[in-house]
Amino acid sequence: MELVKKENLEIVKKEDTSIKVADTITMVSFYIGDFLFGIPASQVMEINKEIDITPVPLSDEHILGIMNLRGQIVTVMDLAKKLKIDLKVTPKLNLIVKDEGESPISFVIEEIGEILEITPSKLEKVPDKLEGLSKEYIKNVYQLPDKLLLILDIEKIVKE
Amino acid sequence: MNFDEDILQDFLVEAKEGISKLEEGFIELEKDPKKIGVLKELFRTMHSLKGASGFFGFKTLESIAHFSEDILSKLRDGLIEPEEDVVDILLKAVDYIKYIISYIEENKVEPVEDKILDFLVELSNFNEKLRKKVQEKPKERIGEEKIEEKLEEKKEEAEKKIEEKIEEKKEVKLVKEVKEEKEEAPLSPHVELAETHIKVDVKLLDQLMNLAGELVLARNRVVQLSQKTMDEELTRSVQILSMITTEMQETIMKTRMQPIGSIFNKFPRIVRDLAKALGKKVNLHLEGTETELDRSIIEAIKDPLTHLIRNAIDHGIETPEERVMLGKPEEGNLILRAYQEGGQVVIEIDDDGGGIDIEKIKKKAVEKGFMSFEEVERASEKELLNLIFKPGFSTAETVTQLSGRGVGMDVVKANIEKLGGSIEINTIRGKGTNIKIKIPLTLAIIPALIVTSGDYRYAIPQVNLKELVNVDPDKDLLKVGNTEFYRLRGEIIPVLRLSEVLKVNGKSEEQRNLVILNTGERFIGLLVDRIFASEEIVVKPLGRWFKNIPIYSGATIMGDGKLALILDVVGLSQFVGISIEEIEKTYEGAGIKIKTSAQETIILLLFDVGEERFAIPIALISRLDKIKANEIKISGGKEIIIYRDEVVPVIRLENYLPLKGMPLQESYNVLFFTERGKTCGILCTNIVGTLETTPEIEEGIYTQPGILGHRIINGKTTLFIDIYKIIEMYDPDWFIVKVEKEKVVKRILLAEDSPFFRGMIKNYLVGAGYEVETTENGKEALNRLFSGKFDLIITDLEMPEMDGFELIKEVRASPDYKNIPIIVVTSLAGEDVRRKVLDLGANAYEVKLNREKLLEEIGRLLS
Repeated sequence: MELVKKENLEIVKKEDTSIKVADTITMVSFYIGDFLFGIPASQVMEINKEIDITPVPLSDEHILGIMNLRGQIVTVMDLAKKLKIDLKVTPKLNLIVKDEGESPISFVIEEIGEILEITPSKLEKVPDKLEGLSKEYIKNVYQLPDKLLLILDIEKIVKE
Repeated sequence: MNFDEDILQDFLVEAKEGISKLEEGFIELEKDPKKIGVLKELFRTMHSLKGASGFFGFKTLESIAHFSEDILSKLRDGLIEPEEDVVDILLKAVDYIKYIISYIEENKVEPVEDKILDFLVELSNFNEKLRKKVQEKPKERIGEEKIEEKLEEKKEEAEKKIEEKIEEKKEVKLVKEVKEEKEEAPLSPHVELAETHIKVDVKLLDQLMNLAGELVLARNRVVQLSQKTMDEELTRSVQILSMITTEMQETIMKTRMQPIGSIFNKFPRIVRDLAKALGKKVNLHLEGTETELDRSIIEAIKDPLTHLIRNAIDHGIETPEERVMLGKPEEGNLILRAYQEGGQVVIEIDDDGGGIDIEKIKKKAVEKGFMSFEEVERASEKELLNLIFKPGFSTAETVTQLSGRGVGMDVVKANIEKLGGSIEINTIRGKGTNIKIKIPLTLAIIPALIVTSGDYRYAIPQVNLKELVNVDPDKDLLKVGNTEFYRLRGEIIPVLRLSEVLKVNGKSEEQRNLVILNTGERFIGLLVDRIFASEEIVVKPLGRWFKNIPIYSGATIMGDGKLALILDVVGLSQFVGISIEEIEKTYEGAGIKIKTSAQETIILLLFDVGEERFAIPIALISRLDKIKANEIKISGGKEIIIYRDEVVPVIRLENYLPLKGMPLQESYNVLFFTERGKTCGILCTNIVGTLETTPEIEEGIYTQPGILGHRIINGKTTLFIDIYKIIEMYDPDWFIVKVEKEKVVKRILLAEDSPFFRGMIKNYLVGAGYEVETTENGKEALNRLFSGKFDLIITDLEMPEMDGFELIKEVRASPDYKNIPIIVVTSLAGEDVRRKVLDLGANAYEVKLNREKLLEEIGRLLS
């Protein structure tokens, strides 16, 4: 029993320090259609252009296929399709994101944006008026001076 | 008490190691109770377990370890004998320790359960009983005994306290420490072994594997570039890099290999417990424990093996009484054997029990509706045995607690097939059962056939591959409903078009390549665009998005860095719309004969050399492959190729037979012929296909050394080649075995009605130095036998006038020849036939085309 107690204690401690040190979170931002999305930089592995994608017949519509990232098989997801954003062409840029315990996953995106430092306390709920994409995969929004940054719920996107 | 998670982990790891040491030790001890070394080791292990659990405050664990240690110390000092009840309770203690450890692993605390406390009481009482027994014995070492007694008293006190779950234990510990010091003293000094092994995280090894694979690809690119620049120094460096890379990859592969002993060693305990529970006596032999396998396979093979061993003891081996009645030794033998064979690991489970009752299977098959009465009568022994692997089929009359735990043989088979392996049963009623499991050495790298559909490549694991056929889809495929079928030597095989399964859009090129696949249950044909060569591929798992697509089992990275999906043959077979049974019904109704008659048939491989067509039994060919013309090199005046790191001489038939020969070609097909580890290749223009047919040939016009005869097949004259003669013409020493020829030439009488086999067998017997007389049936053979002197008879079974069975009977009935050795050669492979001919008095039974085995058998019988 004592062991369990100590474990809890440690977790509490960790949370304390992390909040104190990290006042801001670094976000990688990118564009798909008219939307600006954000993913915590800690989850992004790399950005890659024009990697050969091998289609996997019979897979879901939003899965473009698989690709070879230095010997690892990486699944490529058409994020626009997953988020139900209406796009004329399939984007070509690969944003490769870690997937805990599994091989990484790549989202194809249109254009990479700035690296942003955001303050977690200023994160807001997803507004009702947001339209043109399926909101269930957006965790929070963050008001930038000129645009609304949509923070993606990576875990949900990957698992569902 | 506070302690770190890490330390607890260390404790758990150590405890688990300890447990397996204990288990092995106890079994060894039972075999040889005098092994003092084992006892000392057991004592030490138990002692450190006790110490560690005391440190963590796992009191129940500590107590169990303590009492066990106590019993062990008495054993070690020779105060008591390792009788069955002693070993039993110690093993039980190990079981509880195991249980507690796994509970701690999950919950971080000790379990509080009545059954554990009950056992603790039992253990403590047992210990007490032993103590009294020891005291009753005449005392030899009085001085020591006195101290011992005092200690025992104090310990008794302590034991009571534990039973009452009183936490205060300081006193006990003190006493124990005193005692331990005394006990440790007479032990031999612990020999320090140099550390040759370290523990490495498997993930790290997997990552290394990955990187090595990548390095190979990068190396390939560098090699290509260096070839372009033609810089000598660069080329040399690249060569070195290349060599090192290959070596490194191989070494890393090896790190994943583990001896199969790591699971085999768990079986002595299981067998012991099971045999005891069932009142049987079983002697388990482990063979080939050092055979290495990929660790992931080792893990996966454990459960199926356990199940098979359970079956062998439960259903196979008889009770001691039964065995004695049958004239067998009381103790049943169970052999667990592993060895490597041709890139695969074979595991055999061999028992000398009662064997499987085929009649019972037949009865059950009808009862449970697996087969109709007529089908059962027609079915071969193999087909009947395979029923065991069907879901819902079990031969045990009563499901016992041990082997009937809801997992059947169907699960065993499925699990083995999942590993890319196969399973086979052979049984002889009254003599025993042999189960043979073949599994690949590693799951990570498998040989696969690369095919295409549209622009993409797909890999098909070689284990599922039966054969390749070139078809004309319009002519050769039949359609029933929406499903297409192909008739392969009388067997109806459903055909899938890969492009349709994959729903690839657009009309792809005409598909003429039919890949016949074996799902383990049945055959299916897969029509693909193109077929590439066979390659060794590294299997990589697909992400979670593809788990519900049954047709893939992974992906692989090809030499050019592109990806290919690996097809799952069982998954593909789900796309077959109609069952074969329905088709057979349709066709039976239309009066089309599906099954070929029981007539003797062989499968021929047809091939062209220049404009001539040839045939050879496919069983004689070890491999088919394509080579480029520039791969043929001249060495020592002979043409050779380097094939799979081996120098293989190539033979051009036109050099030995009056042929026009081949025009120059960019690439050639090669038929490989292997015997006794020697391989040669026969060059041909192209492979026409295979054909199952009777071995009828016409002799005369074309007959000459190297040609057995001819026949018109598909409107073309086809020459049947005698490969043994041709190779002998190429190299007269090829078949000569380094055994001194006997002075007296042995005479063999050969009875064989097929001129094809007659010619071939005669030629290779003569080549091996025997004198051979040929006859065309049993009657002729019998007449010849009575008029000449022979040392051995070789006979076919199916012959006109008098068949082989009759001939054996006649020969054995005649007083002059009843002892002449008889070898039966046949193409009818089957256990029942074998048994029949051996019962009739034949000395051996061989398959016709297996020259090597036949010669070996002749040698044995004539020596």
